[in-house]
Formats: sequence, C-alpha cells, structure tokens
Amino acid sequence: MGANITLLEELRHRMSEAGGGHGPAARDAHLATGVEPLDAALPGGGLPAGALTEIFYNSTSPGGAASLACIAARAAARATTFTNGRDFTNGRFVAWIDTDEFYPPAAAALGLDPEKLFMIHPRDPGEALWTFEQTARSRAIAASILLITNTTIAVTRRLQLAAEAGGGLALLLRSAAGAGHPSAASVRLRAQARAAPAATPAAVLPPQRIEIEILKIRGTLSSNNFLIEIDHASGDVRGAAAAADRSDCAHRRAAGA
Amino acid sequence: MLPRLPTDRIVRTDARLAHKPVVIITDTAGTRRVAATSIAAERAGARVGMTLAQARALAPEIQEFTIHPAEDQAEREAIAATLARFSPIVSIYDDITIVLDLTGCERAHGGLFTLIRAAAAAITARGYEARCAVAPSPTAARALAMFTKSFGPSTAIPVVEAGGEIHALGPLPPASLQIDPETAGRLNALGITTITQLAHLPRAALAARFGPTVLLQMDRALSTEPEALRPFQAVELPAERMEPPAPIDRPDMVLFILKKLADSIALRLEALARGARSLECVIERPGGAVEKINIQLSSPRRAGTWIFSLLKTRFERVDLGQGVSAITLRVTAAELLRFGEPLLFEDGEPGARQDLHALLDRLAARLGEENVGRVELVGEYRPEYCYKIVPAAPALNINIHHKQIPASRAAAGQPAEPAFARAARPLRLYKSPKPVELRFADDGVPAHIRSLQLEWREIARAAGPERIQAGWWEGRAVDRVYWIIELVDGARYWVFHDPAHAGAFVHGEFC
Repeated sequence: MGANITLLEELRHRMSEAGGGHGPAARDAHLATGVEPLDAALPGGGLPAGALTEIFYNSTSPGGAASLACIAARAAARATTFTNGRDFTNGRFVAWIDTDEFYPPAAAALGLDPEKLFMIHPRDPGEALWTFEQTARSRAIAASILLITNTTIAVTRRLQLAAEAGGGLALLLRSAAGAGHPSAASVRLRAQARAAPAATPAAVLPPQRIEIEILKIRGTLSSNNFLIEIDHASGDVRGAAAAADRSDCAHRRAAGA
Repeated sequence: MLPRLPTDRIVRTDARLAHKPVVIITDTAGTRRVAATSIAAERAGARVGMTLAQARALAPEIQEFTIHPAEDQAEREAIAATLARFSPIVSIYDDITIVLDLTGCERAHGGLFTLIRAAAAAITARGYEARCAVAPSPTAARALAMFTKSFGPSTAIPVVEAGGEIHALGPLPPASLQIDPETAGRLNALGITTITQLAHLPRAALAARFGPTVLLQMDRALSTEPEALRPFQAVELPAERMEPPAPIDRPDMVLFILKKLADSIALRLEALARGARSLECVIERPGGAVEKINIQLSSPRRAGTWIFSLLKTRFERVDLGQGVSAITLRVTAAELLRFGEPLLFEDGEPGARQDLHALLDRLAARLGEENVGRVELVGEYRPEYCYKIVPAAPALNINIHHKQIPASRAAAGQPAEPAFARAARPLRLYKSPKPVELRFADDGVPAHIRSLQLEWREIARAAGPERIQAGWWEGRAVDRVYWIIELVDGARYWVFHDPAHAGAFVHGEFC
C-alpha cells in the first residue's frame, strides 16, 4: 500500500513536470507576494498562479484590500520564477481594471512601476467582468486586478477558468458581504484596517495596520489570520506582532471577527 | 481557370444561394439573355445564349442577376492579388483564367504539388469553382484546365512537363486552343477533332486556309512559339468589397460577409508580405448613406481570424436595423511583417509581445481606445494632475524583457528603481473631493471629522501638514493643506483644508 502511494506521488510529480508551467499540470505553481506572514500561511509559499484569488474589503471602512492586491501584483510583475523554482513566463504587466477612482501615483508609491501598469476603464460592470476575463486569460499579463461589489459563483467559475488559461494572478476585490456566499476562487482573503497600537504616540503615523484573514484555500481546511503593516510611502510591508493591547481586542470583538 | 466567375461572384456573398440555380443576364437588343450560369442552373437546363424566358421555363426557381463587368473585373484583380503570394508573375489571361508563372517557385512553397494545391485551395476558399492544370505554356495550361475536374480535396491536377505537350493535349479538341468558334466549326466539319490531327496537317496549308491564328495558337500550346504574359500588378494596399444580392440586416449574414472579407484581406496582405496597421471598414446603407469604422492596430497583423474578431467586436456597435447594402474593408496603413512571424493562426503565436498587442487591441475594440491606457507620472504637485493616461494602442514600444534587478535589491524586496512618489498617497482618489467638517486640536492637528449631517468621528492620529500650492499659472490654482488621518477603527483617509480653515474636504481613502 505504501509503495502504491509513493508511486502515485511519483506519477503526479512526473505529470506536473511534463506540464511545463501552465494548465492543470501546474496547479502547484505559486507566486510569492513578498508579504512574509501571508506567504508563510499559504501552501506553496505564495498565491496560486493561474487561479482566482478573492480579497474582501469592508465597504464602510476602507483598509488594505486594494493595497494588498497592489503589493501582490507588484511581486508578480517582478517574479521570474514560481516559488518552486520553475520559470514564470508571463509578461511583465499588471492590468488594473478600474471604474475610475483608482489613483496610479499611489500604486507607484507602493512600488508598482507605472511602466508596467495598464489602466483599463470599462463603462459598466458587465464590461468590467469581460475585461477582467480577457486580461486574466492573457499570458502577457502577470496580474489582473478588478474591484467590484458583488458577483455570482457562476461568474467566479468563469474567471477561475480564465485565470487557468492565463497563468498569472487574478485578483478580484469584493465587498465583504459576499464572503458568506460560495465561490470558485482558489483563495479567499479578507483585509480589514486595524488601529495602530494604543502605545504609539499620537503625533506619529506608523505604517497602516491591516489584518489579513485567510477564509479559504482550496484543498485545505485551514483558516488563519495575522497582522501586517503597510508603509504607504515606501511600499514596505512587514508582519506585525498580534497586538496585546485592549483596544485592538475590543475592535475584534465588535467586528465579530 | 474559374469557369463560373460571374455567377460564383454573386453566390459567394450569400450562403443561401449555394445550391440554387443562378444566372447572369445581359440585355441585348431588348431581349434578356443568359450570359452565365451556375452549376445548379446548368443542371436545370439553362444554357448561355438562351433567353431568360426560356431559362425560366426550364427552371422556374432560377434567380437572375444583371451582368456587371466592372465587378467581375474587380474580383479577377482581387483573386490575382491573392494568388500573388505563390508567384511573382500573375496574369489575368482572360475573363475566366488566371495564369501563374511557377518557374522556380516550387522550392519556396514546399514542392510543386503543395504549391498548386494551396493556390487552388485559396480560390475555392474564396468561394469560386476552380480548375487547374500545369503545363509549359499558358495556352496549353488553359486548354488542359478546361477539361479538368473542378478542384476538390481529392482531385488530381494534371502536370505536363516540357516535351509532353503533344501527348497531353493530343486528345483535346482544337476549340480548346481559343480559336474563334467559326474556324473551330470548320475544322470540325473537316473531321479535325483533335489537336493531334491538327498537328499533322501541313503548316502552310493550315495558315492559308484558316488564318494565322490557328497555327500560332498551336505553336504556343506546343511550346514552339514563346508566349509572353502580361503580368498583373496588385495595387499596394488591399481593399475588398462585398455586396450581397439584397441589403441585409441579420447579424449572421453580416458576419458571413465580414469573415470572407477578413480572410481575403489576410491572403492579400500575405502576398504583399505586410501586416495591417490600420483598417477602414465602410458600410454602405440602402439609400446611399455611408458609415466608416476605423480600427488601429498596435502592431502589424494579418491573421484572418484575428481581423475578423476585431471587426466582429466593432460591429456590435453598428445598428443593423437600417440594413447594409455593401461592406468594404480597406487596409489604410500597412507595414512589413517580419519574416518568420507566425502567419495565419492566432492560437499558436508564441511570445508575450504578440499576446499583449492582441489583448490590447481586443480591449480597445470593445471599450474604445481611450479607455485602455498606460500611466505616465507627470512632474506636478496638484494630486489630480500628477499623472496622465496615455492610450496604449498606438506605437507600443515596450521592452518586455525581464529587467535585470540588482541582486541585493531583489533580495530585500525593494523596488528596482527609486520610488516615484516619496509621499503616501491613497489608492482611491475621489472624482471630486467630498466636503467635510474638521475640528482641530490646539496644536493645529485635526481631531474630529464629520461628513455633512452625520456624527462626529474621532481622529486617532494624523500625519501632516503637507501643503500643496500650484496651478496658479493655469487659473486652476490649488492651495491646500493635506493630512493623512486615521480613525479609531484603523481606516485612513486623505483630507485637506484650505490654509484659512474655511473649507475642508476628504480627497481619498487608503484602501
């Protein structure tokens, strides 16, 4: 029995080798985001390439979802290999599909090179989803980002398939209300702003604290959450120790997390 | 040889006519006579020379169309232009024949048979019946082609080598040599029914009794007399027009025509070794109105499938209800397409560059070129104006090769180039700043904020002030003091007030 299992693993490994980097054979291709706690918490050491990732944002209190997407996209645009060492051969471009409030200089401050950025402006939600499907499907794009309010599982299935064809990151930013509904995305994260630790002097504005919660990773049952700190001026991101002060805990309870 | 060029020209534009009897009518001295027939019409019994009434009597469902020599000629030229990729010398030999001089061309196309089959396939793909033959002289080739079966997947194409002319042509009738019908009739009456017999007649007598043409044609066929071809020069930029028999308004019929146009243009571009950079599609409406659609391409392309998909996307915005009476597709700018670029199949294209241009063109076709752009940072202090969007499509000159990131920087996860803006900016900037009220603490730092009519919210901490003054030279002066504020729940906003504290706005959020 043991021998059979290793044989199966061997076969799987051979198949994924033969696949060459795209499509079902390369399901284990991951792209590091550069955010340490996130990469550590994700199997494969990064977000799955060729798959749809959903990042939920709080529609009443902005905090972190788009910045996280920007940081993951910046990493994908610079990556030349997957986390397992095989070549990542997509083009070096990031497609940001925007319904006109996206501010590129902020992305530049976060380290996303404007030379690599395409800003696409669809005129209605239907066109926005079509555009996202097109860019996710293209091998020229390393990461596609779209912000919407809500969508259906059928649409997420299509987007997941498109991402499989394209091989890059497909990042869908959705309002947190949709987190309760099923989706075909491979990874679902939620980002929420958190107050700076009360101990910090009031005159100082430290890097913004964002709590990332992993809601779903396809194929595992884990869920996890951790804090990161984003410096919006330099694009630096680091993990932060879980706050021991009471104001933070109070917020968590209040938000029902 | 395209034996049914006039009827095929009509039938190819409308799939419904494919198996119907179609005739071309010409009006001579008041009588309408049949000038050309389609296969179905011929099977039904219609013949050239009959009056229309006779033809109708034999086949009541016959559809007739008026003769249109100019359109026929335009088609011949288009077909000749399409065939130009097989040979540098293409000649419109007569109304139903196109001759290609294949000397030396076999190597470039993978052998003689591959070449001929490809050429014949190009004609049939365009919708025409083709009969092909290869011989050492044009006259011989034409004669043979007349008696060859129509080209199909398993048709054998006769190929005659030098010296084999008399053997191949022998059994054919003298009429196949394009001598006038009267002479042919006289020869027939004398019992000369094959070219072999013709060849055995004494030459001087032949010339004396039947005129010099017969001899000349025979000599040409047997390659004893050289024959010059008048080469056809394709006009530089291909344009194709298709006019269906009646105005159409159904999307599937329009797409049918667009597909044919795209494929034809693609082949002609290939003949010219060029790719299109811009296309113009002219839609003619019944009643004379004309609409034009312009399509710009970010890199020269010629794949028919791809041109068709661009046209299809553009046509979604066209109102078909008024009817379309003709469509012209014209290449308005073309560039040399590098040798070795994949030619006809979009799916097999290698390389991120091809993919990128294809993607951008597809997006621009549906969303409009102005909505697909790249970002340029501008040296400007006013936040709304410090960047501009440049349409991505024209003249893309992006270096797609992986930038060499210095190893130390890459290891540290730093951007390879210096950050473009050393100040924190919100990823979401409102279209116009939203008015708010700010209350300040004694030290001038904002302490509370409220959107108009709502509750005051506490500001936990703030960074600033950042004063931005600019634009006075343009009349859109900005004099603002910006703060990044963090509320108690951690949300951060970018707010500003004017220096006199008279008005305050929130300009964006860090999301």
